[in-house]
Amino acid sequence: MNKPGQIPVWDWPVRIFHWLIVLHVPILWWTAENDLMEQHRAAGYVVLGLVLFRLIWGFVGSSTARFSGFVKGPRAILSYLKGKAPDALGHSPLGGWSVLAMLALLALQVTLGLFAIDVDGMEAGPLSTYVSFDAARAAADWHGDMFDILLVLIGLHIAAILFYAVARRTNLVRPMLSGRTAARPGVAPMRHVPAWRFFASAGAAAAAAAGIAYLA
Amino acid sequence: MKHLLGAATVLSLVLVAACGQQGGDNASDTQPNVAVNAAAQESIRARQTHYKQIGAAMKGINDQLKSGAPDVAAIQGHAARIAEYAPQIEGWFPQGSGSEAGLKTRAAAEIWSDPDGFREAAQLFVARAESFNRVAQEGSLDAIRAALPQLGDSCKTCHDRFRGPE
Repeated sequence: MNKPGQIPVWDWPVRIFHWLIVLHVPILWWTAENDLMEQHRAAGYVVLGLVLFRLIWGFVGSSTARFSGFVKGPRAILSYLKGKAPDALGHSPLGGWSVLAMLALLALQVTLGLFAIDVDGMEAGPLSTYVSFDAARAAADWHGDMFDILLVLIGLHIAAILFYAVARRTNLVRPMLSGRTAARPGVAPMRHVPAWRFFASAGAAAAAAAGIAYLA
Repeated sequence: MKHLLGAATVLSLVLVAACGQQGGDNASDTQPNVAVNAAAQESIRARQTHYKQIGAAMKGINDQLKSGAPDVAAIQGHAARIAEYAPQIEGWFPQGSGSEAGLKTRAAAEIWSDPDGFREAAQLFVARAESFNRVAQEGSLDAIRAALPQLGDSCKTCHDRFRGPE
């Protein structure tokens, strides 16, 4: 992987997070469509843990994983759209907001699922016991609507990748697999963080997700 | 071209005539329709309230079973409520109380086009609700736990066929 002229852009926790989400969104859709609620809940807990991890990693992870590195204000977005932004590694000012929106929607979606109940009052998220039947039904309805919004954002995400591939001749998928991209003049590579931070973040996220899933 | 124009003229005249006729019919039917719709809408509202109470009772039973210390008396109350409502369900769907009543309802047209199928599904729920209530009143948590899935299945059996999409 260490080809000359290649520099790190995505650390492996970011990549594994990304591809596990790619794997679990269709699983969650399919299990919901086919009334496989046991499996739907299990996959939902995985996504809960993944989202919690990614939120923590956004504060303590490597340079391209951090929110402070890619969440930019309107002025930066405008100058990026005009093509005047300085060349940099990682999410673009516009892409950063799309990542944040998808992450927020996943967090909201998982939260709604935790409180949701089916119309028969039989299948439910683990936190539905804390709310009324009507509130849990509303959560379930929003859980369904929110998925459509999530699909729109995923569609935009894929459209952007296709745009880069076709119009800019830039492959964004390969770096999300290999973690590396072509070095460019004046662009600093991703800065790693020590591995213990990953183990601490993943441990905290997994413990919180397991706590919500099994102790609630 | 001439034929086409002629045909278009005839067609539009027919449409105008048909619309006029429709308007006339509606005008004379307005009063009775309002009364029929009001009754149909009332039964939609009432059954939705009752179904929510059944759903809440089902949730109440599941909540108790999931809790560390299930309250058997609470489960018995919910079971009795479900057994009380179950035999009423067949009467909750008078003719005209489908989507044509002008209120949002997920009651499927099959309730009225397949009345035997609907009765069968409703009576399955009645039977399961009564036997669950018997088990609940005996008070054994293990027996309650074992009997509940059958009751839930009878909700689903009917919902799968007779509860339409949004």
